[in-house]
Amino acid sequence: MSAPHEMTAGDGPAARDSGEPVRNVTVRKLLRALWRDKLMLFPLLFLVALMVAAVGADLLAPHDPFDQNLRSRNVPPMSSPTSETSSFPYLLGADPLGRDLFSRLIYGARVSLAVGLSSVLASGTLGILLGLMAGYHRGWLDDLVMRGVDVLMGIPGLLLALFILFLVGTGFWNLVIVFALTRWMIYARVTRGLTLSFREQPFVEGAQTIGCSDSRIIFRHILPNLASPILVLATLEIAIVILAEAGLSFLGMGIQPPAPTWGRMVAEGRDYITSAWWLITFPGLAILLTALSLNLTSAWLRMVSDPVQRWRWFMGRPESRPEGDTELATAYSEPQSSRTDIESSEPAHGPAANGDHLLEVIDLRVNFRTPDGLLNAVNGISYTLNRGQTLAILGESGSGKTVSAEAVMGILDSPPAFVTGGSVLFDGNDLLQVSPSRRRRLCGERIAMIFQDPLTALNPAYTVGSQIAGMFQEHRGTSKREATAKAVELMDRVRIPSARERVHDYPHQFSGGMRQRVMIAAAIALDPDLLIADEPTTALDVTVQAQIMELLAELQLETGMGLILITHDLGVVADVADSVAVMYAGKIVETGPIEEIYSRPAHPYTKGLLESAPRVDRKMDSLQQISGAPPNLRFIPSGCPFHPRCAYVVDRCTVEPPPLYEVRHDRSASCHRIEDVMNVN
Amino acid sequence: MSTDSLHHRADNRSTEDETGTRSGPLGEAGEPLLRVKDLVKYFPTERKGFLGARRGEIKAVDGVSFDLHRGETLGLVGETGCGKSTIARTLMRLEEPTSGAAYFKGRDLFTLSKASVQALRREIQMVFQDPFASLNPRMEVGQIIAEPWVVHPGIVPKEEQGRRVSALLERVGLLATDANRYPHEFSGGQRQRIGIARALALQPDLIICDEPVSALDVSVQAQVINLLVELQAELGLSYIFIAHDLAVVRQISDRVAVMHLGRIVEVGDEDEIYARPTHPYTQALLSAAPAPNPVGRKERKRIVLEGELPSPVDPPSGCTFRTRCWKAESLCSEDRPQLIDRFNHGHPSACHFAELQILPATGMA
Amino acid sequence: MARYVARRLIQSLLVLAVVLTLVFFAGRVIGNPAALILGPEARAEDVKTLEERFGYDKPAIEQFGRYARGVVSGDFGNSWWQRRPALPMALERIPATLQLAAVTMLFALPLAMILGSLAAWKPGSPIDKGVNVISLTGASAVDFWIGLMLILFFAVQLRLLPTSGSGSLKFIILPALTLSLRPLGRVAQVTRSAMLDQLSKPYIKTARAKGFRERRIVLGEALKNAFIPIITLSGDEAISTLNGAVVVETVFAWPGIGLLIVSAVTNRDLPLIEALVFVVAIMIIVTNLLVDLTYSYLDPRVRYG
Repeated sequence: MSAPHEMTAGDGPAARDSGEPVRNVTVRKLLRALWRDKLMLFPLLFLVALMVAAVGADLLAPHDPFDQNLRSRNVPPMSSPTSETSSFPYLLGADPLGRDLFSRLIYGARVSLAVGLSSVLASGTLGILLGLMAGYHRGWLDDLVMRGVDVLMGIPGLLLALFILFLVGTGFWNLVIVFALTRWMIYARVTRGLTLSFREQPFVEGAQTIGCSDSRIIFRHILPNLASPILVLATLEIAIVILAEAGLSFLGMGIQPPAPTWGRMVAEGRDYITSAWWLITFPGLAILLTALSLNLTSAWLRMVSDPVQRWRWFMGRPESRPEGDTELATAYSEPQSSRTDIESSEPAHGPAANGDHLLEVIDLRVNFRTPDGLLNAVNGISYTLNRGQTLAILGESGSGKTVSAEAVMGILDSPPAFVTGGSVLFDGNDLLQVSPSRRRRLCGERIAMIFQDPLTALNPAYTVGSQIAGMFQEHRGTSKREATAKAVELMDRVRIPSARERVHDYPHQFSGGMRQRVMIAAAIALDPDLLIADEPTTALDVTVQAQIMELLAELQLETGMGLILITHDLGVVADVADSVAVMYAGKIVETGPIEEIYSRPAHPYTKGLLESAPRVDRKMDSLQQISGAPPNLRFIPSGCPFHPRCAYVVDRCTVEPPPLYEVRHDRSASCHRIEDVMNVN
Repeated sequence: MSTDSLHHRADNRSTEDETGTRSGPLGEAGEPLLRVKDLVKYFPTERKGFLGARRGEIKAVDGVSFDLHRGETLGLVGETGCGKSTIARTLMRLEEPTSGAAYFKGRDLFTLSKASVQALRREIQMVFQDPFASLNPRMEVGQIIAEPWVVHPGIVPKEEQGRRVSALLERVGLLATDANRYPHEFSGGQRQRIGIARALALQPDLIICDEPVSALDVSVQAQVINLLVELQAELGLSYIFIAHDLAVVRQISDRVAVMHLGRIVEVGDEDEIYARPTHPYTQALLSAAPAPNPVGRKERKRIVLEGELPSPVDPPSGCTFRTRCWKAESLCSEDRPQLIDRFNHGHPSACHFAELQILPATGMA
Repeated sequence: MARYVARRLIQSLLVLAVVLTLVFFAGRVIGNPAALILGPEARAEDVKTLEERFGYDKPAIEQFGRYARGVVSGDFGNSWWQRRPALPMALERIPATLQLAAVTMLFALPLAMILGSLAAWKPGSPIDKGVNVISLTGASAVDFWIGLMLILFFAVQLRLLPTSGSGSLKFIILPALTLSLRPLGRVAQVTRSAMLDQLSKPYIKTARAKGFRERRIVLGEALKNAFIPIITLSGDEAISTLNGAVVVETVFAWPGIGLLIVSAVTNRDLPLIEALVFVVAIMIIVTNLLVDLTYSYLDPRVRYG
């Protein structure tokens, strides 16, 4: 039942990272992350100091925490002691019974941490085991556990804790039991959710198919993958338990005197709030700093273990120094002419030179500034498109085909993506230079774009009708009523059956093909001059794909709009394109009319693609294959980026990037050995 | 043409019964390695009503029968929701079938005890679609490949395992030193090779490949397809190869079964299905599949189906394709067409109005 | 929709019955009511006398019958501490707590959503960093201590506001401020991440490609989708204000449910606690129902039949 869709969802580098499950947290990775986030040293050091204080309280405390000294009642901080046992000053003052506040704080740390850690251990073990069992075996156990979770989640935890403590009495172990009972469901819920999703993962099914037992699957395959999220959660939970313990202590329901607890110290100081501010200030600060440090640590751990989180935290702060590959990256991003001498000797392109071209892209460059370094996604591409013409941009994942189209459209996610050079000429304007509002008008009205996955590309919270009508409302100021009527017309035009009834339906109520028709309807609403279609049929079945391509061809014929078709599918290109630009590692390696290129490719990559694709019309003895894999954009090979995979490679290719040579007047290829490639045909 | 092996010529001569199952394979092929009979898998759907739940069913697989012979590749092709992956999952016992039987070397997979299923795992293995999710990110590649031997002790002694892992890695085109690396250090194609190495570890007779190349880049697909073909020739493996890409299926399969809404609508040798399709759905699929050849595309006639794929919860009566079929008549809604050989080509199809269409081979000479 | 509400109400009544039963047996089986009243140092014969006086020596099932009949007629018995009917005591505290919770949420929720949206709109900006600080502080807020510090500063030092009690509007400022820290931080955090989530969705690209203005994209397209996790959390936070209320009402002597709960616990008043559980359970049920109804309004994919 799985949908056999191609996995080429956006070929930006970010998409590749997010495809990975949560990364492992290793000590090395933690230390590296700590090096990067040096501020994290403060909370971590505070927590270490706290633990040292808790463990070594007997050695570290300058005074006996229980030693009452009536002569030093409520003395302020830094007072000299009047006690005979120790001459150390009362660093933080003394309490109403003359006990040293600092020493009591240190002993209080012991209580807080002991309760926090034991409770988290107890509730975590209980919750994780229940969550694993519920998520893996499902059925009645799952129902039971989840009911319990739902009910407990709905009850204010402190009230429940108060009630239980009221019944069973206070004390260390009772507290731990209360926290285990009132917090286990947090772990159970997270563990169950993750287990459920891991259970569906092919690697768990793979373990089943080789015959692993259930317990082996749970403990060897699922549990290790839960380590990072659980670590994050447990750190957060320690803070929550410590805060709750302090609250209970404050209310008199925590660990009973004489053991010093931070919460009760605040409660005891309450009566002296006007005369002895230090009594409540320091214990409160201790609780606050502990909770804050734990919360910070948890947030940081999440960021380290989940690449997407890291991405978010650092968005907008491009890292100045990418690690390791700085030289390579900058060397590659330096402007270098990738066009032929003939082309570059032509007069400078400007609005005047735009001539009859609908769109002219010149030397467009885009890079991604990521926390892991610089990615050169588009490295100087140029192409032109005329009215009524279809240009296919053909490439594999990471070739930069989608990124370049988004740059043209002005919808790059920026940061992390930045256009670093080039121009995009459309109707006498350089889209990269015009004001944002003008660009929005141009791109919304005269250039339209449709996307790969019509389900996610439509807003789930609005009816399809309003998403089409929005075009008229935004750009034409049409009234809602009139815009909706136009939406119905458009839905008719893209042949959505019973448009009038369905205009108020939501995207999820449509099939994939119909959703793509909705996208198209919105795109052609304002009669654009240019339509950019990014993998418009990749997510669709082959029979539906044929319908959509036919619809696009029909609309193009009616309106005479230009079409840029971005795809990885050689067959779709052969079917509809007038000309094709083949992209590899952020460059156009070959471009020209479709028949020419398909019958006599001039670039080894194009040739390799054409020969390696299985065909529906013929079975071949064996497929020709291109060795290796498309390059990582952080480590684009020197010279010709294709050289490590190329069958025609010579020494020159490894050092000298080939310019885009003209093969004939209307086609060019970026290879040092064009003649050899074409002659071998 | 790939080697036209002896046994599927034998198949062509075998007779068909009404359900399309081959009765009594003749000659060299002997008993089929796997015989699936009337496999049915319904998934319950729950729709909460005011009181309790109303139950519906997704008819994912609705009576599928086929044979697979030793050393043969059977391609299962069809669109989203046609049930091809569900067949793989029930054969692997990842899902329990609703009814039906699957005789592997004469034993019914679906009635085996839990212990026998374990033993059987050694003989049937699977390669998954998603190369990113099909390997445990927390295990080294060496551990992943050797895990089958830990689960099934006694096949490869512990001291042998390292050497065998190296051999397997090299066989699938990786380096022996890759055993100490983690899956995320590899590209999609390389991960798929690791998945294949794991499947080979138990020396199975049958590997079920569920969309093994559809997540890969075009330039990498060919590598994996070629690897699978080489391994088959070398080790005498049988494959069930599941894909939605008609071209990929043609390249690797000896025989092909076309599926539509949980049923096989046409089955036969690769060149029969692709060059002489008889079922309108097969014809529509082939006509919709774009060929990488721009020459003469203006003249090409294309069957573009109208309408939507019906829901497997409530499939049409009779022939499930009739709602999109240009040949449909009232008979099609009343009578479910049987999968029978209608033209004595040795390839049965399930259509009352089946018609032979001869498709020319095009492209390079 | 009406059918859905009816079903939810029936479910809620069942849950309520289960909760009250559990509470009853927890009180009778885990705890011994007589011992609870007299405290841990009580002598055995005193406990026994008391058991006989209140009928706690009778079989549990007989006691439960009496209790159940009482609950149905709204009679939870007399408070041991105040010696008057327990339920009215609990009920009369509702307005004060609701008032405090309402002021808190009305202050915290809109502010949190605005801050969270701004942070998500310009990630990495000073606003974003500020929101991160607020949410971390909110999550780490030691409410009773912060309440006391506010008293120390605003009431004791500056003499701007009363230290505690209730009355004019002035009295509610400090408790509401204290109580709002946690929801403010948590809702701002969730708003930020929900908005970031939505703003990275493909449909935002579509909206940009359509040439929509930034304001329409953030407020029109993304916020409606981000509302769902925000509403869920806001519901949870509304319920959690009861946690905070216990502490904050104690600090500020605010005469609400929370203060009464603490009094009931410290006075070992079992009937009053049972009545309070009943009242709190109903408050929770109503909140959850409101949250669910908001969902169905916001998300077209959730339709109840």
